[in-house]
Amino acid sequence: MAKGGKYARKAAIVANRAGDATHAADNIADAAKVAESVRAPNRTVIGKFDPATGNIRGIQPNENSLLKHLPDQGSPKLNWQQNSSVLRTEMGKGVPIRDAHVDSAGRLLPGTPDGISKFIDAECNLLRNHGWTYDPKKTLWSPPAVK
Amino acid sequence: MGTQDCQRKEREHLGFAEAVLRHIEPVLAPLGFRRTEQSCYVFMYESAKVFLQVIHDPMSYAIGIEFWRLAKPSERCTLGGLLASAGEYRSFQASTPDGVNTAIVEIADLLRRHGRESLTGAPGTYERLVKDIEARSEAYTKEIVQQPIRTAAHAAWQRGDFAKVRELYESIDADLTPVERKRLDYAKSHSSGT
Repeated sequence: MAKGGKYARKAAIVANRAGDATHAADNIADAAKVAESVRAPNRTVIGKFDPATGNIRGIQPNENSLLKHLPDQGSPKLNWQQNSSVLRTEMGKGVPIRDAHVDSAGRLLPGTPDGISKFIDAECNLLRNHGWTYDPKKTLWSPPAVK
Repeated sequence: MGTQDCQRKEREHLGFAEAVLRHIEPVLAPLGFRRTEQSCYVFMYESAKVFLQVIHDPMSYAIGIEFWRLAKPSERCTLGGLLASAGEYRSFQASTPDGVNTAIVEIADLLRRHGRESLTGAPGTYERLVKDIEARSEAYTKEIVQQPIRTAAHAAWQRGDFAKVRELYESIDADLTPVERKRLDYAKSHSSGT
């Protein structure tokens, strides 16, 4: 059962551990490395926080979160500033990010009305505005240089 | 998991728990729901057929309801989705005690007016809701996937790279707008490989 502390650390973002930095290697455009990152452990995941588990809904083993970096700042505005900053930092690694707020066909579920949190939509917009593209087959967001 | 577990006491002062108990629980109880868990972020209820959560999202401060049938397939639905299917688009977000209470009062009223079929697990209701969710997801995903293609095609059009225009627009041929269709036709007649 989730603890309240986890709720307070809720985030729409889940992210890599330090080991992921190794995946943010120089040659991210290399197709082989992309394929490797798709299978990589400790992959970053974004999605919807699940109050029942205290984690991102649909998170898989070997996937990790940055919940510890996202304490409640006391207002939606401050929380989004923090959330977007953390996501931008994660995007800076140049490694594909999995989206867990999807249906069984890999289609993205809008944050509203089908996800309650508008942060989900805002995260998608942040990724899109930075040229990241979404692949429904892999449920992965990929940076501009990686297809 | 009680409210005392909440990391930030500030959230307790918003009165989410009190508002849910005062306004939403009286709507749910007559439909056979009993409370199973509660915190300052979520109240969980269960009836013989349906599981329901009233959520005050920890980060976005959005307030909403998720519910799903206990029997498989356990399609997960939201109050927002239920309302959207009825042509009414509403969302709630509150970070003050007054705002939280006002939102909960409105949500209780919406549940009372629109939620009975869903909350009682009426046959066919969830199938209809899920179809609507799928349609929204399809449109949302298509827009996200195709937008970069449209942007790139527009840029190619502006620089007169008709081969690229053709390549890009043909990849989303079924979803082209009338203007894009005309551009594709033009690009086909002005690029090699026709």
